[in-house]
Amino acid sequence: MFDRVGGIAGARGRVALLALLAALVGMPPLFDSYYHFLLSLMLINVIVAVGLNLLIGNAGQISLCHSSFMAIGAYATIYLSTKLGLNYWLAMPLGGVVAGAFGCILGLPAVRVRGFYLAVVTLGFLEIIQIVIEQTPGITGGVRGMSASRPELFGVKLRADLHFYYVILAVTAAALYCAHTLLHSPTGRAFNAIRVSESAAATLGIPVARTKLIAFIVAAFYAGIGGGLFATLVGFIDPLEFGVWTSIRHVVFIVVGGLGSIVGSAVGAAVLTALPEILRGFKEFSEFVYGGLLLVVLIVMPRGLVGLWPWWRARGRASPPARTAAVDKARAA
Amino acid sequence: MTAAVALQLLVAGLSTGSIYALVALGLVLVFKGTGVVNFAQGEFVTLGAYTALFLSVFTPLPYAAVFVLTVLLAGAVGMAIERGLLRPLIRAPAFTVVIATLAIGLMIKNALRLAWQEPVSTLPTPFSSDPIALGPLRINPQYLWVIGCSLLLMGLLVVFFRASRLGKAMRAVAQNQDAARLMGIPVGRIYSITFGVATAIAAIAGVLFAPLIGIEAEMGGVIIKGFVAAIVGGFSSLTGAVVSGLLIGVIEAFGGAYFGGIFKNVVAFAILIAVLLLRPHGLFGRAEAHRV
Amino acid sequence: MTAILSVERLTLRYIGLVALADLSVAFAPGAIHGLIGPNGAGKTTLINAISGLATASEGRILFEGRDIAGLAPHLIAALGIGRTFQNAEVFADHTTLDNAMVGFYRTMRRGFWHDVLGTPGKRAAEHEMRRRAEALLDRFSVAGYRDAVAADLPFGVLKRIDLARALAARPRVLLLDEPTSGMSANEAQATITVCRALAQEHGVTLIVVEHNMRVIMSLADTITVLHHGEKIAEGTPEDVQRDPVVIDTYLGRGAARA
Repeated sequence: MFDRVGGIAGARGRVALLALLAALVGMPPLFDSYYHFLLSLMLINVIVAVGLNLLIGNAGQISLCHSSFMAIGAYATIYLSTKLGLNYWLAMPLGGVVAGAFGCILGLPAVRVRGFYLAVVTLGFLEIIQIVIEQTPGITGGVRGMSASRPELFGVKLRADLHFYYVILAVTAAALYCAHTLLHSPTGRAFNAIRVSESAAATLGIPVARTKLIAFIVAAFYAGIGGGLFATLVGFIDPLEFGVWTSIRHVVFIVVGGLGSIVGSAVGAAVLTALPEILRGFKEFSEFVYGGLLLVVLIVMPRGLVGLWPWWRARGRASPPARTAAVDKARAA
Repeated sequence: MTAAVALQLLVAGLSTGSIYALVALGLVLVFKGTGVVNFAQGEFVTLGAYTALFLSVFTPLPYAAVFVLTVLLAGAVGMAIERGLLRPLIRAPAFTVVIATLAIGLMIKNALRLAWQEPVSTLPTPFSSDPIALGPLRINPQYLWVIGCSLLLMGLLVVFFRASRLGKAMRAVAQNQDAARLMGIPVGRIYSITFGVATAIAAIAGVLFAPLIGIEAEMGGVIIKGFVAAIVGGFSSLTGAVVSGLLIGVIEAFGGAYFGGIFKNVVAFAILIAVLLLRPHGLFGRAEAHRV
Repeated sequence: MTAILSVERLTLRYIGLVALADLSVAFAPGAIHGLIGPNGAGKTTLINAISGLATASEGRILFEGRDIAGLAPHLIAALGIGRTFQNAEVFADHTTLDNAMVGFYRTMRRGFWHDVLGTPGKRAAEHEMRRRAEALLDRFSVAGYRDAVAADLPFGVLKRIDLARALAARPRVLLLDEPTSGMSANEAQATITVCRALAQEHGVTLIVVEHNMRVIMSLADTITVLHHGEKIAEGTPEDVQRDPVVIDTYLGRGAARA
């Protein structure tokens, strides 16, 4: 049902996908608007997670600043549509493009470093973006944040969460399609190749640095789109929304879901977005329970939820054991 | 800036720098010894501070006893966590282990927040906060205590790793797990001990840090500075971690005096970027090689 | 003969070690060149230098008249120089088919926008790549492993996957680093036959590092012998086998009688 990169494969896969789509289209009108909002949030995180997974799970890079690109997309969308008066349906994709451009800016130094150095470069980028957001209130409203209003579609203002939900659903479907086709293409194979062996990839003509850069840009674009949708859904954003813990949550989505898998990332994002809502009942214990559940899932399924699938168990055997590889690296250092 | 002020800033900087150095030390120790990047290291600092607070408030033990007991307890907790929660992940991909340590940190932080209802607390120490006068200088004795303790600890660790059997066993496991195992070294137990030592170091950092900034659930944020110090040092070098931590502390102190508060947040990353641009493997690190 | 590829006075120094010492070798187009010598002679280093994974300290590497020394490896590959690896260096968590498919990046990629939008051009290319990959795997008799994860497979199979992958890129010159290591005599013979056939079909110049004397002596048109990073002999297989210096340093007395 799933193929090697967690895309849909085979007849069973197609049927399952259609059934899911039908459910996502047909069922929400039966529920109240709280669920429309929650589903919208889940889908936005699916977009964001799938983008991050391309960068981390497939291209093998590290990014701890994914939330910064959401922020850039969100602020850009609001700025373009309110301050510059652009049509929202132009502003939102452009917000993604702006985020992608910043992804390129991050990528230029990022492609030259690996491992922890890369992780910290991305953390540094996050800090810088936070500071920029706070220090440019003219564009971003600074620490006080900015509000966003729902757009109009064919003259109808999409005030109802249900109506905007369908927009988000459409964008999510497009995002997943593009991720799927990208991974089943030479570019996608280049991503996976440089993750495993940069030397072999290079001698096969793959431009390693440029491929990494593309991955950074694509991931940033996805996050930017997610950010633009998020701002419009929630109606208000501020820099706190896009800090390091949000970035870490994004990484958790794809690790729990299954690194390198589109379906895994989507499921991980959806489940872990809904989970805090489900855990609301635990009140002040909710974070503790969240951490505990996370730990249990990881110990039982170290490759993520998608590890229940035979492909991923096979993939697991292939990679060298994490700790011994790191220890060997430390030895060589 | 007079010499007196400069010296005072130096002491203050070395003091916070020592904390960063200890956090970085723990991170590098665990990474070299077990290959795990312990994202819960900050929460172990918090745990140390809260344990000391708990013992100070609810038992009649003096500071010295509280200190020692905290360190032992933290070490035990660290060993238990490694054995129970991280050992099962020994063959998991690196990211999984990272998220697992994050989850552990989250649980520790929230457990502490729930256990101790007050948002900020102070740790009673035998040192007053009044600066002692040395000529024109006014130096907070807490700073001197932090610096002194840290130096002593680092000295002990150097001796430990060079001279003791356990220390040498830990170094062996860090260099080559399989060879160590073949020599009869119980690698699993060494992993636990390594983790325990690292959490003990974090707890010491917590106890020392507490009087400087107060005890609150978010004090684990210091891990970020610890990471920067570890990476600037090369992430494979214990010396590097210490030197970098001290360096960052000092530069922060002077920078904060010259440029104000915002500078303090940025300076750690600025140092990081500068060092990585000039020496991509950190000040004390060495390049990795992959033979094809 | 105008060499398609040549190294001129190539020197490569590591700290404390000279891997290649003032080495000059010319490779004729369309021919099969052997590269032999004891371990540490510099054979793999030479391949690494030509393919761009190692940087020469001095000297030139000329490909069709152009100095490529110091170029990035992917640019050297783009010019048409391919290589295989001593340790196969396959993509361990990919299937055999996926490994081979990576080889088509250079020649069959339509571009990023095609790839991300899934245009009909991209789809057609994917079909063709898959077809060609399966054909290549079949030539090397590893088609049965098509959907197996590479890490599970024996080393001899990995070497063949490495070969298929490298040939998928349609190089003009292919550097082979011990292509038959890890193989039984039959496997080695079969593999070499396929290599030679494919080389002839597509006009590929082969430069082959080998320790298996039976294979290289029957395969190569000329052989260069390296020792301590220097060329100590060069010529036809017969010449080289009889060369006293070569016998002394590498082959041993038994080979001369073979």
